Amino acid sequence: MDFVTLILNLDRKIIFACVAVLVAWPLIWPLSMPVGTTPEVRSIFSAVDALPNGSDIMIAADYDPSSKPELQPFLYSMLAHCFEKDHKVHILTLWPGGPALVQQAVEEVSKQYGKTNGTDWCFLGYKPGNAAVVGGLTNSITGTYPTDFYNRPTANMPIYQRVQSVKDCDYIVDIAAGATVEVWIAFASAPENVPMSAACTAVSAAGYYPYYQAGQLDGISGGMKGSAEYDVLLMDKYPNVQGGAPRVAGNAVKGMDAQSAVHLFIVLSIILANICYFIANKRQREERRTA
Amino acid sequence: MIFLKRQLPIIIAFVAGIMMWIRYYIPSEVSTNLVDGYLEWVRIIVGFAAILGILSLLQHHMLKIRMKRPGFAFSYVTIAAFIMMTAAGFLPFAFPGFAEKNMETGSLFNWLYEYTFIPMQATMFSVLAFFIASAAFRAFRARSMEATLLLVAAIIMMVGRVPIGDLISNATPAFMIGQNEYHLIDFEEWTGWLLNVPNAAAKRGILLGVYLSQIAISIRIIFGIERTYMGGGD
Repeated sequence: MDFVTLILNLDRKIIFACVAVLVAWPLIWPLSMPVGTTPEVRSIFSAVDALPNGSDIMIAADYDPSSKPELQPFLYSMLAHCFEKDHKVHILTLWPGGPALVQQAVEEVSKQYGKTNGTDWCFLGYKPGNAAVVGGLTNSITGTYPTDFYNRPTANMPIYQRVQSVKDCDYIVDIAAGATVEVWIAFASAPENVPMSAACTAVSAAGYYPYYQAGQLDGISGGMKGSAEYDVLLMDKYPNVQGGAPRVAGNAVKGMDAQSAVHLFIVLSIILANICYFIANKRQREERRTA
Repeated sequence: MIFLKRQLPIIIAFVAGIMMWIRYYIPSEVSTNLVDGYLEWVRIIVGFAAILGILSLLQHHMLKIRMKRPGFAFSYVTIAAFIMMTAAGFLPFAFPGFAEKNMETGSLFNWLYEYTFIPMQATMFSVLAFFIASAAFRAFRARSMEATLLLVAAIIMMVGRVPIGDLISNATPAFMIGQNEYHLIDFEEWTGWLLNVPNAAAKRGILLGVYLSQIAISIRIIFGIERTYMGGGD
Protein backbone atom coordinates (compact mmCIF):
# COMPACT_ATOMS: atom_id res chain seq x y z
CA MET A 1 0.00 0.00 0.00
CA ASP A 2 1.51 3.33 -1.05
CA PHE A 3 1.39 6.56 1.01
CA VAL A 4 -1.61 8.07 -0.80
CA THR A 5 -3.77 4.97 -0.33
CA LEU A 6 -2.62 4.72 3.27
CA ILE A 7 -3.69 8.29 4.02
CA LEU A 8 -7.03 7.99 2.25
CA ASN A 9 -7.82 4.79 4.16
CA LEU A 10 -6.37 5.90 7.48
CA ASP A 11 -8.05 4.27 10.48
CA ARG A 12 -9.99 6.93 12.38
CA LYS A 13 -8.64 5.57 15.67
CA ILE A 14 -5.24 7.00 14.67
CA ILE A 15 -6.84 10.44 14.24
CA PHE A 16 -8.57 10.05 17.62
CA ALA A 17 -5.24 9.15 19.24
CA CYS A 18 -3.52 12.18 17.66
CA VAL A 19 -6.28 14.52 18.87
CA ALA A 20 -6.07 13.03 22.38
CA VAL A 21 -2.30 13.52 22.53
CA LEU A 22 -2.50 17.05 21.11
CA VAL A 23 -5.12 18.06 23.68
CA ALA A 24 -3.34 16.47 26.64
CA TRP A 25 0.23 17.52 25.85
CA PRO A 26 -0.18 21.33 26.02
CA LEU A 27 -2.37 21.02 29.09
CA ILE A 28 0.36 19.09 30.92
CA TRP A 29 3.31 21.03 29.46
CA PRO A 30 1.94 24.48 28.49
CA LEU A 31 3.44 26.15 25.44
CA SER A 32 2.40 29.61 26.73
CA MET A 33 1.59 31.02 23.30
CA PRO A 34 0.73 34.74 23.46
CA VAL A 35 -2.99 35.40 23.04
CA GLY A 36 -3.81 38.39 20.83
CA THR A 37 -7.02 40.34 21.37
CA THR A 38 -9.70 41.20 18.84
CA PRO A 39 -11.75 44.43 18.60
CA GLU A 40 -14.95 42.51 19.48
CA VAL A 41 -13.63 41.45 22.91
CA ARG A 42 -11.78 44.72 23.55
CA SER A 43 -15.14 46.50 23.13
CA ILE A 44 -16.73 44.41 25.92
CA PHE A 45 -13.80 45.04 28.23
CA SER A 46 -13.75 48.78 27.51
CA ALA A 47 -17.53 49.08 27.99
CA VAL A 48 -17.49 47.38 31.40
CA ASP A 49 -14.32 49.17 32.41
CA ALA A 50 -15.63 52.58 31.39
CA LEU A 51 -18.70 52.33 33.65
CA PRO A 52 -18.41 54.38 36.83
CA ASN A 53 -17.44 52.36 39.90
CA GLY A 54 -20.47 50.85 41.63
CA SER A 55 -22.59 50.48 38.45
CA ASP A 56 -25.19 47.72 38.25
CA ILE A 57 -24.45 44.86 35.88
CA MET A 58 -26.98 42.19 34.93
CA ILE A 59 -25.17 38.96 34.03
CA ALA A 60 -27.14 36.12 32.46
CA ALA A 61 -25.21 32.84 32.52
CA ASP A 62 -27.31 30.89 30.04
CA TYR A 63 -25.30 27.71 29.61
CA ASP A 64 -24.74 24.31 31.21
CA PRO A 65 -21.75 22.00 31.78
CA SER A 66 -21.44 21.03 28.10
CA SER A 67 -20.21 24.58 27.38
CA LYS A 68 -18.32 24.98 30.64
CA PRO A 69 -14.79 24.99 29.14
CA GLU A 70 -15.73 27.74 26.70
CA LEU A 71 -17.90 29.98 28.85
CA GLN A 72 -17.14 29.40 32.54
CA PRO A 73 -13.73 31.15 32.27
CA PHE A 74 -15.52 34.19 30.84
CA LEU A 75 -17.92 34.23 33.78
CA TYR A 76 -14.99 34.10 36.23
CA SER A 77 -13.23 36.93 34.43
CA MET A 78 -16.39 39.04 34.10
CA LEU A 79 -17.17 38.62 37.80
CA ALA A 80 -13.58 39.49 38.71
CA HIS A 81 -13.73 42.55 36.48
CA CYS A 82 -17.04 43.68 38.00
CA PHE A 83 -15.83 43.21 41.59
CA GLU A 84 -12.52 44.88 40.75
CA LYS A 85 -14.57 47.94 39.71
CA ASP A 86 -16.95 47.58 42.69
CA HIS A 87 -19.87 47.03 40.32
CA LYS A 88 -23.05 45.49 41.75
CA VAL A 89 -23.73 42.15 40.10
CA HIS A 90 -27.22 40.77 39.43
CA ILE A 91 -26.74 37.26 38.10
CA LEU A 92 -29.22 34.66 36.88
CA THR A 93 -29.54 31.76 34.47
CA LEU A 94 -32.23 30.76 31.99
CA TRP A 95 -30.78 27.25 31.65
CA PRO A 96 -31.81 24.52 34.12
CA GLY A 97 -28.31 23.02 34.15
CA GLY A 98 -26.69 26.36 34.93
CA PRO A 99 -27.35 27.25 38.59
CA ALA A 100 -24.62 25.16 40.18
CA LEU A 101 -22.01 26.52 37.74
CA VAL A 102 -23.02 30.09 38.56
CA GLN A 103 -23.11 29.30 42.28
CA GLN A 104 -19.54 27.94 42.12
CA ALA A 105 -18.24 30.96 40.24
CA VAL A 106 -20.02 33.73 42.10
CA GLU A 107 -19.35 32.30 45.58
CA GLU A 108 -15.67 31.76 44.79
CA VAL A 109 -14.97 35.12 43.17
CA SER A 110 -17.06 37.15 45.64
CA LYS A 111 -15.25 35.46 48.53
CA GLN A 112 -11.87 36.38 47.05
CA TYR A 113 -12.96 40.01 46.71
CA GLY A 114 -14.72 40.09 50.08
CA LYS A 115 -18.08 41.01 48.53
CA THR A 116 -21.35 40.51 50.39
CA ASN A 117 -24.31 38.57 49.06
CA GLY A 118 -27.40 40.78 48.90
CA THR A 119 -25.38 44.00 49.02
CA ASP A 120 -22.72 43.66 46.32
CA TRP A 121 -24.20 40.78 44.37
CA CYS A 122 -27.32 38.67 44.12
CA PHE A 123 -27.71 35.29 42.45
CA LEU A 124 -31.34 35.16 41.39
CA GLY A 125 -31.22 31.51 40.29
CA TYR A 126 -33.08 29.76 37.49
CA LYS A 127 -36.58 30.31 36.18
CA PRO A 128 -38.08 28.65 33.11
CA GLY A 129 -39.65 30.70 30.32
CA ASN A 130 -36.83 32.64 28.61
CA ALA A 131 -38.69 35.61 27.06
CA ALA A 132 -41.31 35.67 29.82
CA VAL A 133 -38.57 35.90 32.46
CA VAL A 134 -36.62 38.60 30.63
CA GLY A 135 -39.84 40.50 29.92
CA GLY A 136 -40.72 40.24 33.62
CA LEU A 137 -37.32 41.62 34.61
CA THR A 138 -37.99 44.76 32.60
CA ASN A 139 -40.96 45.44 34.90
CA SER A 140 -39.61 44.25 38.23
CA ILE A 141 -36.63 42.15 39.25
CA THR A 142 -37.99 41.39 42.72
CA GLY A 143 -41.44 40.70 41.27
CA THR A 144 -40.03 38.15 38.84
CA TYR A 145 -37.67 36.70 41.45
CA PRO A 146 -39.35 37.18 44.86
CA THR A 147 -36.58 34.99 46.35
CA ASP A 148 -32.99 34.47 45.29
CA PHE A 149 -31.20 31.16 44.65
CA TYR A 150 -30.71 30.73 48.41
CA ASN A 151 -34.44 31.26 49.10
CA ARG A 152 -33.97 34.68 50.69
CA PRO A 153 -36.53 37.40 49.90
CA THR A 154 -35.06 39.79 47.35
CA ALA A 155 -37.28 42.78 48.16
CA ASN A 156 -35.43 43.42 51.46
CA MET A 157 -31.93 43.18 49.99
CA PRO A 158 -29.87 46.39 50.00
CA ILE A 159 -28.91 45.76 46.33
CA TYR A 160 -32.60 46.10 45.33
CA GLN A 161 -33.33 49.29 47.23
CA ARG A 162 -32.26 51.42 44.25
CA VAL A 163 -32.58 48.93 41.41
CA GLN A 164 -36.15 47.98 40.52
CA SER A 165 -35.87 46.54 37.02
CA VAL A 166 -33.44 45.89 34.18
CA LYS A 167 -33.83 49.48 33.01
CA ASP A 168 -32.10 50.59 36.23
CA CYS A 169 -29.09 48.43 35.36
CA ASP A 170 -26.18 50.04 33.54
CA TYR A 171 -25.10 47.06 31.52
CA ILE A 172 -26.23 43.58 30.46
CA VAL A 173 -23.90 40.68 29.67
CA ASP A 174 -25.35 37.46 28.32
CA ILE A 175 -23.02 34.46 28.49
CA ALA A 176 -24.93 32.11 26.25
CA ALA A 177 -24.63 28.64 24.81
CA GLY A 178 -27.97 28.91 23.00
CA ALA A 179 -30.24 31.48 21.42
CA THR A 180 -30.89 33.61 24.52
CA VAL A 181 -28.83 36.55 23.20
CA GLU A 182 -31.68 37.49 20.83
CA VAL A 183 -34.14 37.26 23.74
CA TRP A 184 -32.07 39.67 25.86
CA ILE A 185 -31.67 42.07 22.92
CA ALA A 186 -35.35 41.98 21.95
CA PHE A 187 -36.94 42.06 25.40
CA ALA A 188 -34.44 43.93 27.60
CA SER A 189 -31.54 45.72 25.95
CA ALA A 190 -33.25 47.34 22.93
CA PRO A 191 -36.61 48.36 24.48
CA GLU A 192 -35.07 49.60 27.74
CA ASN A 193 -32.00 51.14 26.08
CA VAL A 194 -29.50 49.28 28.26
CA PRO A 195 -26.18 48.57 26.50
CA MET A 196 -25.30 44.92 26.17
CA SER A 197 -22.56 42.47 25.18
CA ALA A 198 -22.59 38.75 24.54
CA ALA A 199 -20.17 35.92 25.20
CA CYS A 200 -21.17 32.81 23.33
CA THR A 201 -19.81 29.49 22.12
CA ALA A 202 -17.41 29.66 19.16
CA VAL A 203 -19.92 27.91 16.92
CA SER A 204 -22.66 30.49 17.54
CA ALA A 205 -20.50 33.67 17.60
CA ALA A 206 -20.64 34.17 13.83
CA GLY A 207 -24.44 34.40 14.04
CA TYR A 208 -24.35 37.52 16.24
CA TYR A 209 -22.27 39.73 13.95
CA PRO A 210 -25.33 41.50 12.45
CA TYR A 211 -26.29 42.59 16.01
CA TYR A 212 -22.70 43.69 16.67
CA GLN A 213 -22.55 45.74 13.48
CA ALA A 214 -25.94 47.28 14.20
CA GLY A 215 -24.65 48.45 17.59
CA GLN A 216 -27.14 46.29 19.50
CA LEU A 217 -24.18 44.44 20.97
CA ASP A 218 -21.13 46.39 22.14
CA GLY A 219 -18.98 43.33 21.65
CA ILE A 220 -18.91 39.58 21.10
CA SER A 221 -16.69 37.04 22.78
CA GLY A 222 -16.62 33.78 20.86
CA GLY A 223 -15.75 30.52 22.59
CA MET A 224 -12.65 29.80 24.63
CA LYS A 225 -10.61 32.22 22.49
CA GLY A 226 -12.89 35.09 23.47
CA SER A 227 -12.67 34.07 27.13
CA ALA A 228 -8.87 33.90 26.86
CA GLU A 229 -8.79 37.37 25.31
CA TYR A 230 -10.88 38.75 28.17
CA ASP A 231 -8.52 37.03 30.63
CA VAL A 232 -5.54 38.68 28.95
CA LEU A 233 -7.14 42.15 28.95
CA LEU A 234 -8.14 41.75 32.59
CA MET A 235 -4.74 40.49 33.72
CA ASP A 236 -2.98 43.28 31.79
CA LYS A 237 -5.01 46.02 33.44
CA TYR A 238 -5.46 44.44 36.87
CA PRO A 239 -2.38 42.24 37.51
CA ASN A 240 -3.55 41.33 41.04
CA VAL A 241 -6.43 39.33 39.49
CA GLN A 242 -3.93 36.68 38.45
CA GLY A 243 -1.59 36.83 41.42
CA GLY A 244 -4.17 37.00 44.19
CA ALA A 245 -6.69 34.56 42.79
CA PRO A 246 -5.25 31.95 40.47
CA ARG A 247 -8.60 30.38 39.58
CA VAL A 248 -10.30 33.66 38.84
CA ALA A 249 -8.60 34.36 35.56
CA GLY A 250 -6.24 32.59 33.22
CA ASN A 251 -8.07 29.28 32.76
CA ALA A 252 -9.06 29.99 29.18
CA VAL A 253 -5.50 31.10 28.31
CA LYS A 254 -4.22 27.68 29.40
CA GLY A 255 -6.77 25.99 27.14
CA MET A 256 -5.70 27.98 24.07
CA ASP A 257 -2.47 25.98 23.63
CA ALA A 258 -4.44 22.76 23.32
CA GLN A 259 -6.94 24.37 20.98
CA SER A 260 -4.12 25.77 18.80
CA ALA A 261 -2.49 22.35 18.54
CA VAL A 262 -5.73 20.57 17.60
CA HIS A 263 -6.79 23.25 15.10
CA LEU A 264 -3.39 23.10 13.41
CA PHE A 265 -3.57 19.30 13.30
CA ILE A 266 -7.05 19.38 11.73
CA VAL A 267 -5.97 21.96 9.14
CA LEU A 268 -2.82 20.03 8.21
CA SER A 269 -4.73 16.74 8.02
CA ILE A 270 -7.39 18.32 5.76
CA ILE A 271 -4.69 19.70 3.45
CA LEU A 272 -2.87 16.35 3.39
CA ALA A 273 -6.09 14.42 2.73
CA ASN A 274 -6.95 16.79 -0.14
CA ILE A 275 -3.51 16.46 -1.75
CA CYS A 276 -3.84 12.66 -1.56
CA TYR A 277 -7.37 12.86 -2.94
CA PHE A 278 -6.19 14.81 -6.00
CA ILE A 279 -3.25 12.47 -6.59
CA ALA A 280 -5.57 9.45 -6.37
CA ASN A 281 -8.03 11.10 -8.79
CA LYS A 282 -5.26 11.88 -11.26
CA ARG A 283 -4.06 8.28 -11.09
CA GLN A 284 -7.57 6.98 -11.70
CA ARG A 285 -7.97 9.24 -14.75
CA GLU A 286 -4.63 8.07 -16.19
CA GLU A 287 -5.53 4.42 -15.60
CA ARG A 288 -8.86 4.93 -17.38
CA ARG A 289 -7.10 6.65 -20.31
CA THR A 290 -4.54 3.84 -20.72
CA ALA A 291 -7.19 1.08 -20.35
CA MET B 1 -67.06 20.68 22.88
CA ILE B 2 -66.17 22.22 19.51
CA PHE B 3 -66.05 25.62 21.28
CA LEU B 4 -63.44 24.29 23.75
CA LYS B 5 -61.39 22.61 21.03
CA ARG B 6 -61.61 25.30 18.33
CA GLN B 7 -62.96 28.72 19.27
CA LEU B 8 -61.52 29.00 22.79
CA PRO B 9 -57.85 28.44 21.77
CA ILE B 10 -58.28 30.96 18.95
CA ILE B 11 -59.77 33.51 21.39
CA ILE B 12 -56.91 32.90 23.87
CA ALA B 13 -54.30 33.26 21.09
CA PHE B 14 -55.97 36.47 19.86
CA VAL B 15 -56.20 38.07 23.31
CA ALA B 16 -52.66 37.03 24.32
CA GLY B 17 -51.16 38.20 21.01
CA ILE B 18 -52.94 41.54 21.05
CA MET B 19 -51.99 42.11 24.70
CA MET B 20 -48.25 41.89 23.89
CA TRP B 21 -48.70 44.42 21.09
CA ILE B 22 -50.69 46.81 23.28
CA ARG B 23 -47.83 47.12 25.74
CA TYR B 24 -45.48 48.46 23.06
CA TYR B 25 -47.95 50.80 21.34
CA ILE B 26 -49.99 52.01 24.35
CA PRO B 27 -47.51 51.98 27.25
CA SER B 28 -50.04 52.86 29.98
CA GLU B 29 -50.11 51.57 33.56
CA VAL B 30 -53.11 49.35 32.75
CA SER B 31 -51.43 47.69 29.78
CA THR B 32 -48.18 47.27 31.72
CA ASN B 33 -50.03 45.60 34.61
CA LEU B 34 -51.91 43.37 32.17
CA VAL B 35 -48.68 42.26 30.51
CA ASP B 36 -47.10 41.71 33.94
CA GLY B 37 -49.88 39.31 34.85
CA TYR B 38 -49.67 37.69 31.45
CA LEU B 39 -45.91 37.09 31.79
CA GLU B 40 -46.52 35.61 35.26
CA TRP B 41 -48.98 33.19 33.67
CA VAL B 42 -46.48 32.26 30.96
CA ARG B 43 -43.83 31.48 33.59
CA ILE B 44 -46.30 29.28 35.52
CA ILE B 45 -47.39 27.43 32.37
CA VAL B 46 -43.75 26.84 31.39
CA GLY B 47 -43.18 25.45 34.91
CA PHE B 48 -45.99 22.97 34.36
CA ALA B 49 -44.48 22.07 30.97
CA ALA B 50 -41.34 21.01 32.85
CA ILE B 51 -43.47 18.70 35.05
CA LEU B 52 -45.09 17.33 31.90
CA GLY B 53 -41.62 16.68 30.49
CA ILE B 54 -40.61 14.76 33.62
CA LEU B 55 -43.78 12.64 33.51
CA SER B 56 -43.25 11.95 29.81
CA LEU B 57 -39.64 10.91 30.45
CA LEU B 58 -40.66 8.51 33.24
CA GLN B 59 -43.54 7.08 31.21
CA HIS B 60 -41.25 6.47 28.21
CA HIS B 61 -38.63 4.64 30.27
CA MET B 62 -41.13 2.62 32.29
CA LEU B 63 -42.78 1.46 29.08
CA LYS B 64 -39.36 0.55 27.69
CA ILE B 65 -38.65 -1.57 30.78
CA ARG B 66 -42.08 -3.22 30.73
CA MET B 67 -41.77 -4.10 27.02
CA LYS B 68 -38.11 -5.13 27.50
CA ARG B 69 -37.10 -3.11 24.43
CA PRO B 70 -33.43 -3.14 23.32
CA GLY B 71 -31.32 -1.16 25.79
CA PHE B 72 -34.00 -1.25 28.52
CA ALA B 73 -31.29 -1.68 31.19
CA PHE B 74 -30.25 1.96 30.59
CA SER B 75 -33.79 3.00 31.48
CA TYR B 76 -33.20 1.63 35.00
CA VAL B 77 -30.12 3.89 35.21
CA THR B 78 -32.14 6.92 34.02
CA ILE B 79 -34.95 6.34 36.53
CA ALA B 80 -32.51 5.64 39.39
CA ALA B 81 -30.53 8.82 38.56
CA PHE B 82 -33.75 10.83 38.39
CA ILE B 83 -34.94 9.55 41.80
CA MET B 84 -31.52 10.10 43.39
CA MET B 85 -31.12 13.69 42.12
CA THR B 86 -34.71 14.57 43.05
CA ALA B 87 -34.33 13.14 46.56
CA ALA B 88 -30.98 14.90 47.03
CA GLY B 89 -32.47 18.23 45.95
CA PHE B 90 -35.82 18.02 47.76
CA LEU B 91 -35.37 16.09 51.02
CA PRO B 92 -35.00 18.60 53.86
CA PHE B 93 -32.02 17.03 55.65
CA ALA B 94 -28.30 16.58 55.08
CA PHE B 95 -27.34 13.11 53.83
CA PRO B 96 -24.72 11.20 55.87
CA GLY B 97 -21.26 12.46 55.00
CA PHE B 98 -22.50 15.82 53.69
CA ALA B 99 -22.57 19.03 55.68
CA GLU B 100 -25.49 20.72 53.91
CA LYS B 101 -28.97 19.87 52.65
CA ASN B 102 -30.89 20.53 49.41
CA MET B 103 -28.87 22.48 46.81
CA GLU B 104 -26.44 24.23 49.15
CA THR B 105 -22.68 24.03 48.54
CA GLY B 106 -21.45 20.89 50.35
CA SER B 107 -24.73 19.00 49.88
CA LEU B 108 -25.21 15.60 48.20
CA PHE B 109 -27.04 17.32 45.32
CA ASN B 110 -24.12 19.67 44.74
CA TRP B 111 -21.65 16.80 44.95
CA LEU B 112 -23.63 14.75 42.41
CA TYR B 113 -23.86 17.78 40.12
CA GLU B 114 -20.17 18.57 40.30
CA TYR B 115 -18.78 15.05 40.13
CA THR B 116 -21.27 13.23 37.89
CA PHE B 117 -23.38 15.67 35.87
CA ILE B 118 -20.61 18.12 34.89
CA PRO B 119 -18.04 15.46 33.85
CA MET B 120 -20.63 13.40 31.96
CA GLN B 121 -22.00 16.34 29.99
CA ALA B 122 -18.49 17.67 29.34
CA THR B 123 -17.45 14.20 28.12
CA MET B 124 -20.39 13.97 25.72
CA PHE B 125 -19.49 17.37 24.27
CA SER B 126 -15.74 16.73 24.11
CA VAL B 127 -16.28 13.55 22.08
CA LEU B 128 -17.42 15.91 19.31
CA ALA B 129 -13.85 17.16 18.85
CA PHE B 130 -12.70 13.64 17.94
CA PHE B 131 -15.54 13.05 15.50
CA ILE B 132 -15.17 16.49 13.91
CA ALA B 133 -11.43 15.87 13.38
CA SER B 134 -12.11 12.48 11.81
CA ALA B 135 -15.05 13.74 9.70
CA ALA B 136 -13.05 16.75 8.45
CA PHE B 137 -10.17 14.48 7.45
CA ARG B 138 -12.44 12.09 5.55
CA ALA B 139 -15.10 14.31 4.03
CA PHE B 140 -13.74 17.86 3.65
CA ARG B 141 -12.70 17.73 -0.02
CA ALA B 142 -12.30 20.49 -2.62
CA ARG B 143 -14.68 18.69 -5.00
CA SER B 144 -16.29 21.84 -6.45
CA MET B 145 -15.84 25.61 -6.45
CA GLU B 146 -18.29 26.03 -3.53
CA ALA B 147 -16.60 23.27 -1.52
CA THR B 148 -13.20 24.86 -2.16
CA LEU B 149 -14.40 28.26 -0.95
CA LEU B 150 -15.82 26.63 2.18
CA LEU B 151 -12.58 24.74 2.72
CA VAL B 152 -10.42 27.85 2.39
CA ALA B 153 -12.72 29.86 4.72
CA ALA B 154 -12.71 27.05 7.28
CA ILE B 155 -8.92 26.81 7.23
CA ILE B 156 -8.52 30.57 7.68
CA MET B 157 -11.01 30.58 10.58
CA MET B 158 -9.50 27.54 12.29
CA VAL B 159 -5.97 28.93 12.21
CA GLY B 160 -6.91 32.59 12.58
CA ARG B 161 -8.92 32.18 15.77
CA VAL B 162 -6.19 30.53 17.82
CA PRO B 163 -2.86 31.98 19.03
CA ILE B 164 -0.85 29.93 16.53
CA GLY B 165 -2.48 32.00 13.77
CA ASP B 166 -0.95 35.17 15.24
CA LEU B 167 2.46 33.46 15.46
CA ILE B 168 2.28 32.40 11.80
CA SER B 169 1.13 35.88 10.72
CA ASN B 170 3.90 37.62 12.66
CA ALA B 171 6.52 35.31 11.11
CA THR B 172 5.65 36.42 7.56
CA PRO B 173 7.19 39.54 5.92
CA ALA B 174 5.57 42.86 6.86
CA PHE B 175 4.97 45.82 4.57
CA MET B 176 3.48 49.29 4.95
CA ILE B 177 0.48 50.69 3.10
CA GLY B 178 0.10 54.30 4.14
CA GLN B 179 0.32 54.39 7.92
CA ASN B 180 -0.75 50.76 8.42
CA GLU B 181 1.49 47.74 8.70
CA TYR B 182 0.33 44.54 7.02
CA HIS B 183 1.73 41.04 7.00
CA LEU B 184 1.89 38.88 3.90
CA ILE B 185 -0.31 36.39 5.75
CA ASP B 186 -2.57 38.18 8.21
CA PHE B 187 -5.00 35.73 9.76
CA GLU B 188 -6.53 38.27 12.16
CA GLU B 189 -7.33 40.62 9.26
CA TRP B 190 -8.71 37.77 7.14
CA THR B 191 -10.88 36.25 9.89
CA GLY B 192 -12.19 39.73 10.73
CA TRP B 193 -13.14 40.28 7.09
CA LEU B 194 -14.78 36.84 6.79
CA LEU B 195 -16.88 37.42 9.92
CA ASN B 196 -17.77 41.04 9.25
CA VAL B 197 -18.45 40.93 5.52
CA PRO B 198 -19.64 37.65 3.92
CA ASN B 199 -20.77 36.05 7.19
CA ALA B 200 -22.65 39.09 8.50
CA ALA B 201 -24.24 39.76 5.10
CA ALA B 202 -25.51 36.20 4.75
CA LYS B 203 -26.64 36.02 8.37
CA ARG B 204 -28.45 39.36 8.10
CA GLY B 205 -30.34 38.12 5.03
CA ILE B 206 -31.30 34.91 6.83
CA LEU B 207 -32.38 36.80 9.95
CA LEU B 208 -34.53 39.23 7.97
CA GLY B 209 -36.22 36.32 6.24
CA VAL B 210 -36.76 34.46 9.53
CA TYR B 211 -38.17 37.46 11.38
CA LEU B 212 -40.47 38.52 8.53
CA SER B 213 -41.79 34.94 8.45
CA GLN B 214 -42.24 35.01 12.23
CA ILE B 215 -44.26 38.24 11.98
CA ALA B 216 -46.39 36.73 9.21
CA ILE B 217 -46.98 33.51 11.20
CA SER B 218 -47.76 35.49 14.37
CA ILE B 219 -50.37 37.58 12.54
CA ARG B 220 -51.89 34.41 11.08
CA ILE B 221 -52.05 32.79 14.55
CA ILE B 222 -53.48 35.91 16.22
CA PHE B 223 -56.25 36.20 13.64
CA GLY B 224 -57.00 32.47 13.66
CA ILE B 225 -55.87 31.79 10.08
CA GLU B 226 -53.03 29.48 11.16
CA ARG B 227 -54.45 26.65 13.29
CA THR B 228 -51.89 23.87 13.01
CA TYR B 229 -50.71 24.53 16.60
CA MET B 230 -54.06 23.10 17.78
CA GLY B 231 -53.33 19.74 16.10
CA GLY B 232 -55.55 17.98 13.58
CA GLY B 233 -53.47 19.07 10.60
CA ASP B 234 -55.75 21.83 9.21
